[in-house]
Amino acid sequence: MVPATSEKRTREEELELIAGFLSRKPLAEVSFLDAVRPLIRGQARRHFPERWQEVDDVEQSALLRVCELRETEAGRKHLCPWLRELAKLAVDAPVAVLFRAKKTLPLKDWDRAVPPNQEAAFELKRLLKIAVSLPRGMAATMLAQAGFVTGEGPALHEALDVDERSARRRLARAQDAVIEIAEGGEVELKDD
Amino acid sequence: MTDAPKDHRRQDILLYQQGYLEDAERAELEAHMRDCASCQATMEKVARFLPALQQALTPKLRSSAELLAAVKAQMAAKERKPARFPFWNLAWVGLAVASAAVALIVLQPSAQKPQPRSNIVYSPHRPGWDVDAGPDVDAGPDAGDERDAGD
Repeated sequence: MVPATSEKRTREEELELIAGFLSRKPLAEVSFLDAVRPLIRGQARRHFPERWQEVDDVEQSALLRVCELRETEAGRKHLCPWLRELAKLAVDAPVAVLFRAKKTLPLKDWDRAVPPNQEAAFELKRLLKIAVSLPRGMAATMLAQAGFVTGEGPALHEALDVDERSARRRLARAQDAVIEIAEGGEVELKDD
Repeated sequence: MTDAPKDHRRQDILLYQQGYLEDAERAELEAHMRDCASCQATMEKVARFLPALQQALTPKLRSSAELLAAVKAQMAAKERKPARFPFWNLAWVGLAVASAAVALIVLQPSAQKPQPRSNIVYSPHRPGWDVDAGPDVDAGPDAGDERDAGD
């Protein structure tokens, strides 16, 4: 199992992963993807929290870009340590396309009546929508925490690059805002 | 604390639930909650909310193998699809056609230019300006000859 974050991976290990990806051996390709995907999601989480609902699309588009880089000599020059830089390169373009397209989720996805057994899933979607619709700093804080809880990202204060106490207070403020909005309350939102 | 606003210490309770309060803060909040029904209710609500939020923010991920297959299929589809003629190429083609049309008009041989229907010339026999009908372009090449013959 490849470590979730690149901080724990050495340059040599990354070179090995890249060589495996370039060899096009299926298992090596999957190992490379396992290593790059958390970094891609980390980029999306940190820099484009408002697009988190489309993270699956962003991830696939980013990996498509990485695979396309493999096809040309000029592109292969980008396939070098650190993978974090590669992930940044790969994520920026598809997200820019999403922003250009002003892609929004159709309202019917949120407003339609749902059968009782789907109520929980619908509620989760509603929470997600509320969370990522908050000011960018608040949304990024909650996503960073979620990434940390799943073991995919660094500790919250490291992700936000602030001291621990401030990071926790920011988190509580953001979570409090989600609860308030979910309950139909009015919140005066101010980013940290 | 009946006059306290609803959920008045929700942020503290959120931190408490996640184990983020300092020891002294935690002890103080616990002491407060013993007598505060509102905070006890908030505690229950927050205990339900936090896992739901975590779940909401954690996408269901495809396995890397599935994702790789999807990416490869997308690449193959892109290769099969004929490259779309980019709009800026169309713009260049349009510009080229327009330039060619302008060039044809400007550089058209003068012999093919239609003759003027009439010329204004100065007659030495009569004072003033005379109007010479000139060859009638529409009447064809023989029209002028007929007029001359008549004279």
